[in-house]
Amino acid sequence: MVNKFLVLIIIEELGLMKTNIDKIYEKLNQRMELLNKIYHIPLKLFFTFMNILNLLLFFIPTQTMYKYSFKLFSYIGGPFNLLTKLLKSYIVLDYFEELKND
Amino acid sequence: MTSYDYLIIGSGPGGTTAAKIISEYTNSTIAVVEEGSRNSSKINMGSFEDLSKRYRYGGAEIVFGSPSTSIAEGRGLGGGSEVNSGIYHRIPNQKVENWSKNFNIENLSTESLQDDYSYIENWLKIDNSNQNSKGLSKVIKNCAIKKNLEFEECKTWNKNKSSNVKNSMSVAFYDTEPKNINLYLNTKVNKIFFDSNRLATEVECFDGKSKFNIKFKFLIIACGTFQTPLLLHRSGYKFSNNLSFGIHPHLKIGAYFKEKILGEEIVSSCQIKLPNFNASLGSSINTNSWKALFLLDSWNNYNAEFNFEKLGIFYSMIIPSGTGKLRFSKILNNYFLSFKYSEKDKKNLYDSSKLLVEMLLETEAEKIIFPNKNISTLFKSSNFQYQDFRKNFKHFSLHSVHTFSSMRIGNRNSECDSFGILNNSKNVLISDASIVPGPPGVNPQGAIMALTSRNIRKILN
Repeated sequence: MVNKFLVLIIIEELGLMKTNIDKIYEKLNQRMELLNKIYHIPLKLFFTFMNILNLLLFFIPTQTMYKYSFKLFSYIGGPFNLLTKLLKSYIVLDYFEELKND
Repeated sequence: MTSYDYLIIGSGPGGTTAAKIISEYTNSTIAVVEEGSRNSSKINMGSFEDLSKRYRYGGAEIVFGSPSTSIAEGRGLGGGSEVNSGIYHRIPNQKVENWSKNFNIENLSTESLQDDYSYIENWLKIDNSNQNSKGLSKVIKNCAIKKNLEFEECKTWNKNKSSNVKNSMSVAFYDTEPKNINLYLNTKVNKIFFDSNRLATEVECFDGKSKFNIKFKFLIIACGTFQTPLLLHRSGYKFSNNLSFGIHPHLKIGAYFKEKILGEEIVSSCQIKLPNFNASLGSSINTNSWKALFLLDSWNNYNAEFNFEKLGIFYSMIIPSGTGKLRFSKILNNYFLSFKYSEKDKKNLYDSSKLLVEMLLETEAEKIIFPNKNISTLFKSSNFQYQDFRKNFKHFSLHSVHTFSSMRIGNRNSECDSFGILNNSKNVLISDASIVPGPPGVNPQGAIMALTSRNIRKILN
């Protein structure tokens, strides 16, 4: 559901090392699948929309597009802010858990 | 079609207490239907495995409001008892009196619950000896002694003194392979059928492969604060009132110490009581990944030199006067939760947090970190103003691991009678956190089990 670029962008934004990205990406998608349907369905639609937007804006590099989209969402606030917060929370939890496991 | 005398939906503290008492005192046929699976008790608290296997929705549910509050509920065999921190409380006497009076609950008093408490405490082997506070609990205890504040060293329910295995419902009951009980794991109840005489007659279940029905004489619903009303809503049940619910919101506060914090402890076994602010103080889950999560709202504090071993996470928890609203969406066939904090709640949270900050700075803490990007890090010389706190209240991350009171017992604005029998029905008992009449101010598992014991005994008599 979530694009791997998004994980990379958030890790980069938080100033963390780019390690265990695949594992974090895998866990993030598993976590998203577990969400309450009322959040899971709109989120799935949202990420599908982002992927379509990415195809339409093919001339903008994917990482750049995601980076600025999520900066915009953090700025707008409301539900978009909750979304970025949720994604960051999951990534941070799994990043530090993987770090401990290493 | 399979038929039982008692069908219990949900295997949390309420459902399991009911199953145990019925199986001990009658020869009835009993079935317990559990939506989740059986999990190992050795899963690390707060880990990915813990959240994905033992929590509903992976531990992430949102109560909308300003600010939104994140809540978490257990799921799987043993329900909330599996994710509970393992501390036990009786219901505070004053709460029992207030509930009895405010909701017109028949025959509810601390004295009338004595037998129920004894039964549960013997069953779970509640350790009444004084706990040896270590790690952050020791910090909390020292703060309380220094300020001459009331504190409590919480009782625990470990399997035995030498082990750290909690006497959760799966360990204390299902692992002992109870007789007379048919356990349906990974089975979800979709719907309850009621006949024209308002008697519940059968349920429709789904085990992941096929649908099947189970008949019963008496139904006990113990699915939890939100799943119980949702199941009734999906079954076409008409509620008597607009549904509300309660939580114990807490604000996490980080203290960065000069030295590493010694002593392993996941959650606090020592709590400071602040009756003037309707609040209590303690320490929170303190693994590195949860410390990092705490820092997310003030990430500017994190850098290459940051030492997680010097960071301790504490909490200030209030008993709110505000209430939550539970609404159903017909289109999505699900519920939405919202909670409105009163001005008094904000002030109590500020006052209790301020006291915690002062006490921590008086100990070895170098600085205090708030989970709020607009509130700067506090040092000994800093001034923590209410105006700042109030202005930025909506930016805080608040949490609650306790949810209750959506179907409270009583004869006033209640969905059940004084003993948990569902209004508009004759053979349905509600038996989970939803019947707890109000915020107990402590971990509610003891309250759920004591009230269930009381109600089941009344029915069996």
